[in-house]
Amino acid sequence: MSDNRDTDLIERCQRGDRQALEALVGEYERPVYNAAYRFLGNPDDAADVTQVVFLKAFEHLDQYDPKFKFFSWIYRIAINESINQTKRKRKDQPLHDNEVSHAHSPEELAQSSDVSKGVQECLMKLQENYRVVVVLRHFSDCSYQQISDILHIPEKTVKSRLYSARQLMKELLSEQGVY
Amino acid sequence: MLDKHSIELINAGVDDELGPEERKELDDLLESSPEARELNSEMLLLSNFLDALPEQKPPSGLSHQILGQIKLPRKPVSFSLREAFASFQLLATGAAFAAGLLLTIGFYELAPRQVSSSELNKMVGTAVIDKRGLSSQPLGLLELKESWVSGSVTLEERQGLLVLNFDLNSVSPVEVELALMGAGLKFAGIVQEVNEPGRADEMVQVSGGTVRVENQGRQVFVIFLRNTAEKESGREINIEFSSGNQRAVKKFLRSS
Repeated sequence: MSDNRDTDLIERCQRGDRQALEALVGEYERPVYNAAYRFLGNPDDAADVTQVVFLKAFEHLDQYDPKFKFFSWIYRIAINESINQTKRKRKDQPLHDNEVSHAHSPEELAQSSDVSKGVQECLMKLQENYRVVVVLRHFSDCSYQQISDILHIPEKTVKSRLYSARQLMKELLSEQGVY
Repeated sequence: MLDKHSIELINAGVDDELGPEERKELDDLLESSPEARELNSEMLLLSNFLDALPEQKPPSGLSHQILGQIKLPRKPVSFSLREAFASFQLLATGAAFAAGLLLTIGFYELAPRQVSSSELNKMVGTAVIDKRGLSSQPLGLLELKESWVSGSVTLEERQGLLVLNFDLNSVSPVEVELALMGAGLKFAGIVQEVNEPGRADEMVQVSGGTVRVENQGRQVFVIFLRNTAEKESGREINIEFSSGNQRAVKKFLRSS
């Protein structure tokens, strides 16, 4: 969605236009849910967090600064809420015994639901600051600049964290025989 | 052993975050270093693997739940100053004008609730303020010298209210917008002093901490604001003027 369209929809929301609200929720529900799901590893928690994210965003819409992208703002809320949810739960996710997939290409491997679960388990073993960059880069398709805006960290830090996170992911996936 | 720069280059290449020069540098590196090629292959494979994981579908009904819980600000009250003025004229007396009184149109309190249009009509002409009789403390002056709008805005404090006095002149319609929320302010009322005959009607819109006034021609009006912040120092009052693609932002910095 273009920044101009977002800005227009937000202004209309601020004037009480519910059609604009429906358009914004429709646009961002899926990406916010996916980011939360990959960060939390649990569909119920992801749904809860998605609800909270939108409620908070629209409750504090007057605090939104149009100088920044709505996309970055709502993702920042999503990441913060996901971290809060993790802190609230603090339960280790049980490891799942996966069978090694017989598919060969990365795409084929990844499409297997067992593999998807296996990857999720590896993601959950990463430290939060590593997990979040992997989620934003690979599951939310954010650029370095966008990740930097969302997390309020320099692009250099994004790069180094992403590299370290991938190295760890590679090891974890190999250990689990997923990859 | 690859150095840090080479590793970063490979990763940025995998993420398609390289400019043409860096891309060339990476190509040269991959051509000359087997170690770089190996890392590049590993990273590409992993990246493609992660990217190919299926997107998760949110539970059905989630968006409805979300929409059901979000309360938006109520639609703003919009009213025409000219219509209000016309209504008031039936009530106003010539003596009031002769005395040089400031005619108050739609001077009203919005908070803690919004005011309906019918209520606004009842309020028309309910307040007459003698500007000369009020003690005021000047706090600042802004001058506008744009090609499309000129004039001035003064800020003063009057009987516990902050008062913005606008004296504007424009050929085309100009929108004046005040964002109050971040400034720790609340809209308290608006007064029109001069209305040039034959000009387009002016509109006032108040919603979600924003006041918008659209006007054209010579316009003198006063906006009253009430403080909501405990600490005023350092807060700005931003006033945005726009007409078509043209835009100017002016600000008052409030100090204790």
